[in-house]
Amino acid sequence: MGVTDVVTPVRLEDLVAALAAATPQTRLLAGGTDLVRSIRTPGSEPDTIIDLTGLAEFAYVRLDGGTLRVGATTTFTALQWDPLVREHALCLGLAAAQVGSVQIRNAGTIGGNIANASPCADGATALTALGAEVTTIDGAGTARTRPLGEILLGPSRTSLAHDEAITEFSFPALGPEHRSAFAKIGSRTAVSVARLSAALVVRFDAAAGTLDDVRVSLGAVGGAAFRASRLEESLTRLPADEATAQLFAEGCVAAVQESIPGRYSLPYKQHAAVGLAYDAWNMLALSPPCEPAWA
Amino acid sequence: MTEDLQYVGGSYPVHDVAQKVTGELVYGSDFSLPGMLHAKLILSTVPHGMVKRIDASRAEALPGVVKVFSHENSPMDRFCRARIHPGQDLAEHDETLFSERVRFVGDRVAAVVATSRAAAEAAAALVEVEYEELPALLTVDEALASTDVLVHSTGNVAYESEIDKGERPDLGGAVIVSSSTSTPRVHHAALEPHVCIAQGHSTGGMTVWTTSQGVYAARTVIAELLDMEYHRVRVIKVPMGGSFGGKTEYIIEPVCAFLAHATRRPVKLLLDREECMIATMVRPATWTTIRTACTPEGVLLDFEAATTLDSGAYASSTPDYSIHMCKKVTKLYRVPHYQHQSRAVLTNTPVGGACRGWGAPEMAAATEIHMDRVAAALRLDPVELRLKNMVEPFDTDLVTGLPLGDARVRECLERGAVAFDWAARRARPAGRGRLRRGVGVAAGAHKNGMFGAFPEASNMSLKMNEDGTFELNASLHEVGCGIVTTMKVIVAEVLGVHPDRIAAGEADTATTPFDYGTYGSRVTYVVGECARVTAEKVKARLLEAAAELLKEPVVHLFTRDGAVHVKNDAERAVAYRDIARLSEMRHVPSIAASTTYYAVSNPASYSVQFAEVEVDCATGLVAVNDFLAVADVGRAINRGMVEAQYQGAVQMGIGYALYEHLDVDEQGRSGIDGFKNYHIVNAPDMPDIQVLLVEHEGDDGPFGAKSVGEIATVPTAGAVVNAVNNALGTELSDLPLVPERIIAALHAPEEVPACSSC
Repeated sequence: MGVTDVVTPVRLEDLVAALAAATPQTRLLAGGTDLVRSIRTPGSEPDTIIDLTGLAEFAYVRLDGGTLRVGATTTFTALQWDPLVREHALCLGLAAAQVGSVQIRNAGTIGGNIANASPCADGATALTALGAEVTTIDGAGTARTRPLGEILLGPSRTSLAHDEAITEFSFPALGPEHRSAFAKIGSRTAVSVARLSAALVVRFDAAAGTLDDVRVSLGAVGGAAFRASRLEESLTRLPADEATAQLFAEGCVAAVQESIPGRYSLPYKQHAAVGLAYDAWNMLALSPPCEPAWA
Repeated sequence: MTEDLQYVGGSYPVHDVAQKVTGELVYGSDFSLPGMLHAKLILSTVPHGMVKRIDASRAEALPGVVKVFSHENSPMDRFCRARIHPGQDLAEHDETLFSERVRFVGDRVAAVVATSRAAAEAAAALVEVEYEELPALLTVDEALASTDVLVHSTGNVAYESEIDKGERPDLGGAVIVSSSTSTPRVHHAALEPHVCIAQGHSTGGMTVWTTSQGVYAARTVIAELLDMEYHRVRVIKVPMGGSFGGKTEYIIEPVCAFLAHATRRPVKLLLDREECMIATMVRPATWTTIRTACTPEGVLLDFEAATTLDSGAYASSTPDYSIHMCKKVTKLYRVPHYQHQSRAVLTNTPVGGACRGWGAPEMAAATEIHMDRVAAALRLDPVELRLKNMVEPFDTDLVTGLPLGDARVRECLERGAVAFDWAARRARPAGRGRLRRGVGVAAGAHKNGMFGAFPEASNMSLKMNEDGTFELNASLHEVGCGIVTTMKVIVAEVLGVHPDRIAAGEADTATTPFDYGTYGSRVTYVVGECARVTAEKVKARLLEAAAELLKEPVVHLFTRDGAVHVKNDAERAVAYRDIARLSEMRHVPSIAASTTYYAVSNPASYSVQFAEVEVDCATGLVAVNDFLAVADVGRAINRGMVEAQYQGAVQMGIGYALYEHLDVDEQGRSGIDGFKNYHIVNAPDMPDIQVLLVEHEGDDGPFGAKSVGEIATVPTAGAVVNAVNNALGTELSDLPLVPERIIAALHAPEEVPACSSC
């Protein structure tokens, strides 16, 4: 029956002060849609909860030259409808739109999604494809920026120190030649964690009719979202047609098989990956809508 | 029915809707008493074992903790959670308040009682329990094979029965079809968790407030266990947020009553979702094989079935449940010979028990999946095959020998097929691409109370107040399906007053007369008829009083709009509210009546349901796009409520077909602790549900009404599974059809898990 303090900093310096006082038992609340459930277990009560949602200055989406910057406490609802996200990071907006329910999207934030480090986190899959970097601040007031892959270490495991909070995600804004997509398979249409998710980013060379800058990220297979780099290379400079869609699907299947060999869920996920890949491909709208060839 | 009904058949909200939407309603979990303590259960973490040591010292040292109770310091008298009355058969006294020998993950080991819920929860985490593990029997196959390890000393088969009725005709030339269907263990998913509050009194008595479906039975279990005289135990039904059968049995009431008795303080026991899921009870998993013989034209000649039911760790009501699975098919189909073996098998898994439909959804799934196989074997349309075999009105049930009453299942099927445009939809190709469409149909039958099994009756009284309003005194147990409103509408119709001028409360053993409670599809048919008969008696007294005041013979009078009128004389009437004044109160005390009503029949209620699905062959996800439920209800008392009950029932049935399952792993654990990992169908995945009511009023319920609550969900899963099989050309019959099973059926049929039993 622990007693938990809650502090709600409203300015950056208040946050730094709160982080300076943090202990390994301190938890950061960035929406609470995962945290509130987890701290109900007796014995896991935090000594202090630092509520980040008071930091209005961390809820933003900004275009800074060629870089899109997303504040850590931006909610999924905000991301889902943000015009800059739609234009420069559509896969992130599509991922945000598929998180949980309206209620969860209104409360849940992209920073919380990453810090919670669920292998199923929709935001992580999209940000991985976008090549995001993560900026944090710690109790000494030191800001650091490192790649997302260095933050996410595995299920519920991150490299974030107990006195470190995510403040921003940044990544190269997708240009007009880019297309991106996010697809997810859950056990039902909504309010369902991903059993498999994929984000796909391509640049379409209209003159040549081919793809480059291909980025494929898979989520909910293995400990954290990852880039399928071999698949990315194999698709580069291929035409945006149905044959490439099929190669993409086959590559997703191979990536899933390599990622979770022998896992109980593999027989299902390796088949479902085909559907997932076509869902993502069709969202790019580069070829007429296509579907797997069925024997 | 030719009479002109003024209130019956209209649509009325549930009686406490205003209290619900304003938040005024006090649910059990909101309820508190001065000095009340809070209890928290400690549940077994092993599926089978002996409790070797319980160390409660750290827990009891926490501030606010009153005491930790376990087998070491509590009575070890046994009780049956499913006991309805003292002399009941098939009510095995097989559990204790706290177990020394634990039989499933979730068995009650101990309870902490503390001054706050937070203290009780914190202390529960500090109670150290050491087990000596025993081999666990986690499947019915293991339990049936085991000779040395027994879940209970009486053996692992809790009950076996066989029904063999009719004569097997010559089967020469008959078409034989066999099938095996399995149905999952599922959670009831009532929104409100289980809660009970108990308070001992200095008189030696006790009051218990509970969200139960039957307060008299709760009193029986509590009084017998605590060795108290019945009149000293008062059990009061409090408002509840859903049950679906999950609060029919008396699981936490005896525990809470004991804790109050032992601490001499009021105690509240409120479960959390995980406890509701694993430690109360579940719909039992079943495996049913069916072998039928029919003529090449599709007329059934023989129906043989065998069912194995997973009782879980305590027999509870599952023996009766298993018997009832044998009593479903012959309510629906005519067959010259019917044979059904059933057995309830104990395992070290969560306890099975009552759940909406009492074996009927399980058996309807098996039967209706089988009937589609027969139709396929004979190249007959599924509707056509069923029409060749369905019962006719006033047939007799071959198994029970009871008349089926005004059984209108055939009409449900015929009208439904037209309304759903069945023939055209069935003829449409499923497609060969990623998304494939199919349609399915299934029928189901259920009962109307317990007539035929034991003397089925209800009791109530009704009186007129001095101002012409009425009060109904009955043991009503509202579980969310609107029975308080139903009773008011029935009484209103008889008396010719608006339902708002009638008060009706819920059950309280100290003040309301005996009634079994809300289960067994008995309330509208039996309790509702009791209300109608009682209201007729009061109406007779009203007419007599009015006859005297109006100086007219009773035969010249009629009631309407809260007054007694003289026929053919629009000017002369006496309003009910004037009777007290005009008679100087002389008549008022006698405008009252009490009735004990014994049911005289137990006809069948029917439903036929049609589903259209779209299956994503790439992901295995199934979307139910369209749904029609046709209902043989006799007469709708509250039309909007009947339609809503059907819509809710379809939601439950789709979940049963496609999503819900509460399995255990090799350690006997479910891994499920809430709705995050136990998925029911939610709103985005629900189709529009059309409800078509077939009303004939040929039976003995009030105004011809028959049961709705359970039958509504009986055929749903079968219709959905049949639609999926139609879309894919598969023969899937292991519920639920989760994406893994669909993908396996499409890609590697040999990998589809076979039925693990029978």
